[in-house]
Amino acid sequence: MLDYILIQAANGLVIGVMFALIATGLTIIFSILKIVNFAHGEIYMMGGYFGYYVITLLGVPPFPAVLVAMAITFLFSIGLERGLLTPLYSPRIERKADYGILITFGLSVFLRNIAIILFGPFPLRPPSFIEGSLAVFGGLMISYDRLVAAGGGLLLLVALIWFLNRTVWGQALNAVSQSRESASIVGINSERMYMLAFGVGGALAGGAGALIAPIYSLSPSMGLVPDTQAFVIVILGGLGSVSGTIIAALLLGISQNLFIALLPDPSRGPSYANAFGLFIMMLVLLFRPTGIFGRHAVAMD
Amino acid sequence: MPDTLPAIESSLSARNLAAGYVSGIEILHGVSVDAVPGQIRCVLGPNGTGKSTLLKVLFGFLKPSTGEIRSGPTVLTGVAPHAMGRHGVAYLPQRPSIFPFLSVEVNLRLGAWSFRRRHADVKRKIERAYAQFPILGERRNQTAGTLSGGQQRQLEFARSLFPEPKVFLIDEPTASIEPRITAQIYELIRGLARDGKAILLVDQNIKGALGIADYVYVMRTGSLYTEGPRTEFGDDVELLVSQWLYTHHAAKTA
Ligand SMILES: Nc1ncnc2c1ncn2[C@@H]1O[C@H](COP(=O)(O)OP(=O)(O)O)[C@@H](O)[C@H]1O
Ligand SMILES: [Mg+2]
Repeated sequence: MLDYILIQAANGLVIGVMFALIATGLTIIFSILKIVNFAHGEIYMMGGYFGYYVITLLGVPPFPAVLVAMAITFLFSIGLERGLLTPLYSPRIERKADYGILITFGLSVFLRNIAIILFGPFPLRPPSFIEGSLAVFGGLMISYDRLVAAGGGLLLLVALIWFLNRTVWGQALNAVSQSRESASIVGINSERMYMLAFGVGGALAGGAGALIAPIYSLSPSMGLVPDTQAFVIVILGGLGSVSGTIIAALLLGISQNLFIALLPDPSRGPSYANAFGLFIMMLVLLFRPTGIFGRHAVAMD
Repeated sequence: MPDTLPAIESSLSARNLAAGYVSGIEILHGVSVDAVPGQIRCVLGPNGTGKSTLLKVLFGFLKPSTGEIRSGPTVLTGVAPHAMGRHGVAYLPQRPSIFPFLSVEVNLRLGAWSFRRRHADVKRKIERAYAQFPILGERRNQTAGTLSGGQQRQLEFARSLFPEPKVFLIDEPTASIEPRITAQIYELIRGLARDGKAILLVDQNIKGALGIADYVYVMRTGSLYTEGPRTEFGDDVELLVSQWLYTHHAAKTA
């Protein structure tokens, strides 16, 4: 029984890392562009398919394919931002938040359906990163693909934190999230930062899609559940805090898997997982309305 | 309306600016001001008159509905705020424009955004800022939001000097900060003018501002009420204030 719980915790960690990649992207987009990107789960889905076709059509090996998929998702996201979101920055649009919701919600439905047309409704599975499983905890196995997904995801998160804190572009993103006005006073062109934020957020989600594909397979609707979970995580993490988001994602991934493991009938687990996340969110918001790690003073104009 | 440049060469000149925040409600009704190299020009006037609005228009945060802003032959009307630095204009708004959750050092680094690839230059300027404002050096790793109001102003001033602007638009630099630093800030502004910078200073601290001003604009409800060299206003601050208050009152009850 203990073995079983440990392996579920390990699986939860893998899921938590994936949640973290998706949710940090959502957080970055939210804190820079001040919109909730409802199409973020579909960007994750597209990243998975980009990875799949880079491997199957171009013959790129699975590991570099993740990076190629991220690069494509980066450009794809910037294309979407330029094409659909620029009206947000024009003074002519008055209800910007409403515009953001409608356009990204529409985009999510559009991408999901275009994926059915282009990629087909049936699940696709790219080749494994590494075949086989590692025997751990006496007889129980954890697949190498899960280890790769968790390890690769953690690397990406470390790279993200380095980028945000140590590079001048990351610092400029941070500056824009704190005050667009002050950023433009020092000469930062906010519009370029919106592009960068949307691109980086998309690339992180795309990387998650490419990393998870050999484990769960790809389907046009694969973004729906992680998307809901990512919203929960972003709120738990305190809207706009990247480190808070990462910690919230890992906690949610692990506790959710343990919750499933302890259900009397584990086959019902997945259908309860979402409810579990939302339940936790309600509890946290009741007692800590700014999220677990909320910044009180952050300006959300 | 004079179409030619004024007799004294100005670094930034605005003619007949009209502007507002929402359509139909005009805040500025045709204001003309100049920023002149080596001079401190003060914009004085009661609260809510549109002094801050004027600076926002000059820096491009608000588009004027009519009027023109130029720097020599270059028309700056409609230039976005982030590009104003390239035209040699710096802006220090009423609320310090620091990044409260970033460290003092990163705040300074971002002040060097326009020449970020010249690493040696960036480093040299940050070191010079620490030499000029030792408190910033001591607190370089602290987040800027933990600094006192006066220290935040010093950080902002230090940062604004990096791209070596010709024109400074400064909005109430001494509002609600320690008296000791107030004197320091006026001295700093004076030093900028001695170096040939053009200063447009908005201030509620009439005594302090008149102490360093070369030229005074008095604004009242969105228009220039009067202007002239400081010497013309004499040293009678009380008279000046009662003048606006009286006319303000008269305008209201009329
Ligand atoms: N962001 C804004 N939106 C709408 N109205 C504003 C805004 N900022 C200032 N105002 C209005 O513009 C007028 C002038 O304000 P301001 O320029 O700040 O005056 P001052 O700096 O002289 O005290 C005031 O009536 C004020 O209410
Ligand atoms: Mg003001």
